[in-house]
Amino acid sequence: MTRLKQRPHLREFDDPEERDRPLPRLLLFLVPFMMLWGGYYIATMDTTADPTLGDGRTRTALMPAVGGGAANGAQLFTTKCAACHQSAGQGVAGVFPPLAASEWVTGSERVLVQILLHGIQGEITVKGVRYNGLMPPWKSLTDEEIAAIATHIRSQWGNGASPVTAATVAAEREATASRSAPWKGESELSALK
Amino acid sequence: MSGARQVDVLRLGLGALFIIAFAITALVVMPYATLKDVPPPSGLKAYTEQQLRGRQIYIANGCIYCHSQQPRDPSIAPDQARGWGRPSVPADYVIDKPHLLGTMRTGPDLFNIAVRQPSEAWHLGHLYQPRAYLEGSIMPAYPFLFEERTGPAQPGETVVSLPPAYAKPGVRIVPTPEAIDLVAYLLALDRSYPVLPAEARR
Amino acid sequence: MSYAAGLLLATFLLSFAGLLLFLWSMSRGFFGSSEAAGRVIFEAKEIGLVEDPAAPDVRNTGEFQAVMNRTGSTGEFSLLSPEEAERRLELDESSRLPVLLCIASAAIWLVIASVFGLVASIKLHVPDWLVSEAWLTFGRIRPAHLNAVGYGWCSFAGLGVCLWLLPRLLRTPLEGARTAAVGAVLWFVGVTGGVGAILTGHSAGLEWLEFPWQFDVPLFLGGTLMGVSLLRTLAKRQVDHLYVSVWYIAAGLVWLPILLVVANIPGLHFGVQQAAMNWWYGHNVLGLWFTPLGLAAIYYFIPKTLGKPIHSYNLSLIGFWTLAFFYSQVGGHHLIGGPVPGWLITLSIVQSVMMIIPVVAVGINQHRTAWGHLGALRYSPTLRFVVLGGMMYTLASVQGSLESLRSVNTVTHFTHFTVAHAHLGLYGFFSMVMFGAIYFVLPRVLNWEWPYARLIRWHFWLVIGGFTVYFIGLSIGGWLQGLAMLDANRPFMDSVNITKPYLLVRSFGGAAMTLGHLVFAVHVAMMLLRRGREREGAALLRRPTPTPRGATAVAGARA
Repeated sequence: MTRLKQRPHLREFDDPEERDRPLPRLLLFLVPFMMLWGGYYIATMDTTADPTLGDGRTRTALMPAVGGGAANGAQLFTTKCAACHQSAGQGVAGVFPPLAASEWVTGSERVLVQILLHGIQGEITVKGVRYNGLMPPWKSLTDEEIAAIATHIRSQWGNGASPVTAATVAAEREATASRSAPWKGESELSALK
Repeated sequence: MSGARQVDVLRLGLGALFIIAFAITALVVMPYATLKDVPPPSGLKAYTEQQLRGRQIYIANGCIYCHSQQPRDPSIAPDQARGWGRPSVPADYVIDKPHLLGTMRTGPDLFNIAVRQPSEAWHLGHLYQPRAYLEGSIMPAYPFLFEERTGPAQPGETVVSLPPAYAKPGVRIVPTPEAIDLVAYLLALDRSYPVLPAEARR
Repeated sequence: MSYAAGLLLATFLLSFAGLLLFLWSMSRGFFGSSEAAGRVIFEAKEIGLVEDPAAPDVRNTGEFQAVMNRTGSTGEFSLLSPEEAERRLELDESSRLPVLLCIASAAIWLVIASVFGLVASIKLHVPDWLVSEAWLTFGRIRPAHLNAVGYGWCSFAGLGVCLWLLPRLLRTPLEGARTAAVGAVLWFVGVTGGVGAILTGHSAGLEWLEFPWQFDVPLFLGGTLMGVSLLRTLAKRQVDHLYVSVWYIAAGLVWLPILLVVANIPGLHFGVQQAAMNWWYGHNVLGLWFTPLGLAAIYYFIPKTLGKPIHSYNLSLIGFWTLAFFYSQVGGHHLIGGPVPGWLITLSIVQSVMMIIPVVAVGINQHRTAWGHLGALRYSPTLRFVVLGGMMYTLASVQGSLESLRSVNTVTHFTHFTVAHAHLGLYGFFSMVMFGAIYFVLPRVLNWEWPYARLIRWHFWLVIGGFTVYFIGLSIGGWLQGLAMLDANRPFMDSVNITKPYLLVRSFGGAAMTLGHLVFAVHVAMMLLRRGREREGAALLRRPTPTPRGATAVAGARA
């Protein structure tokens, strides 16, 4: 017991207890207030919502897209094209060809639309540099969307070619409707011109 | 005395059990009951074995910690305008075990990555070195999913194409089967089918 | 009104009716007078020696303080009889083995978890760092960090402190200390295996539930063994009154195994239902496991180190039951805007906001207990950590309530803001409280004082400084990231680029925290090995100066 005097236990206060006090007024006001707010919040929630569709769903957003709507070329370019061709259209050296000042973009609109529809698998020379990659087909996009993308890339980054209409895309789509494989490089594409 | 003692413990134990039971009912059982009979949409394709293997790679390497798979409604956030697809619905996930909804968007939502980026070559190169294709990306590189090969090219070999800044001369970067599987999974992430018929439009 | 909404409203109103009834019965004294019951836990001579709240200005009444520090500043301990002192020693000795195992494990996991966290943090702004090995990839290190923190550091620290607290509060030696020790070892095995599984690519894929079920089994068994030991002690208790900390601890021990079992039923959960379950679990680990343990510690250590009773028993009760009820249903707010039923989200948002009630109750209770004695924060390490932790609990909870509101959540969801918030809760609140508690517990369990007060100071300033930088930096970065993502006209990369400087800042904060943890772990190791300077009396953050009004210094000296 000689060490007992030095033990940390001995300098402690008592183990705590709780006092009996009336509830603070703040709490007595707070509780009903919170209750009113919660009831209000629940009562004003959207009661027509179908719980099997998720939180805050707009029904029209879940239906098939209606054709004929205006397509936003810049937005489509950002979501579908910029990953490879980059947001400034400069491409990635040796991997993805540039669109800025590309003869394939500003040249024949027919060929451009065909590239967008079916993609490319094979060699292609852009601005004097040879690329050998695979561009996926985008024929799942609507005519309006493809026209919007084509128009967008023909008018950006110093490109100054004419816009492409949805009618042109529709015609091109019709002309190569049976095609299922991508264009085999520039050899096949040049024949289109 | 002992009676009062038991009342206290009883009150505590029963109260705690009641509360947890209530929470389980509200947050586990009720969603189960609401969603268990939701049929899969007709456009939803079951995963192939390869895609499921790729899904495991996605889980093992924690893609979920930066990528969500749950586009929100246009009335809440512009997820759709970013090309991430229509808002997702519970039916889209009936084949997902485990779920991969995610809670972070350090990178973009991937629920429809196959729709906006269907190129296998892009995915492979981007996994090998994200910064080769996207300047400023903070996604980790995954070199351990690829092999470096030298010597003559073998038939049927997929080679990652890289810009000069990231390529090593004389070395080919070839994806491992894990990388191929992972990309197969990513290319299966296409929920562009509608979930409500057009007739429902009012 | 739809079926779901009606049901929701009815449930909500019913639960509130229950709460009102509870308040009313309390005001009528149906729960009995706590003071009469409360006295049971005190030795006869100890009653009446604590402060009198009726004193006009407690801060400046030197005379009163002298009474409060009933033994004066001379370090004489005249009032505790040898038998009472023996009793206290006996209680602490009964729990020594499992407590030491838990606290040592906690310190080990704290260091491991901090290193994982720091590595993950650096990887976000140096993405080509440590990429050649699969186990070092961000997507494995980050969940390894979370699980090492949650199941390693926090759970072990919480369990260790509770194993020590319960015998004290029940005035009953711990029953089955060996069983509890086996439980601690099993828990360690589970955490080690689980973190190993994550690093080797065997994650189960759900946040907070990454451990494959094979490693949840030892966790479950270990937790149950420790729980059984504590519940047996509860059954044999020598006091009639249950102090509020006991409520929290016992309930937490009942809840955790239920959470683990429901979440791990194999083959049951699917798709979106699994997501709802995932966040029911994820938030309840915080709300029904860590928070009760942390609050139990706060409720004990603040009055203990100050020598004051808890302000109000009624407030404690309200705080406990409303926390349990509301907190257990807030998980859905992690899925706002997601593909989950709207009523579930609404329920979780409402209950998240309702969390203000328990937070206010706990906050008032602690505030009124500690007020007037904050000067002691300058001296007592325990008090400083615990009081700061308590403040950050209030802050984190209020922030959490706000964050669940749709308007705020739209910005913060999916961003680093949420990460900062999570750290405010589990670090700012829980870890801080545990640091303080361990500074109090270890000397008593080991009968050895902390050798270097300087190390405690370093620990404190490194973690508090680091965390301030971490939290403020990441919150700003996360908010800006959210705003950038909400603006459809800005490319997604804007939201990435804008966060980069803040991610760098976060790494600096995290590095300071990690360094602080190393200091702490070294100090704990010294304690366990009885290395370093042998000290008489408490290791304080600064030396008390004996002035006429310096009695607060002595209050601190008691920690």
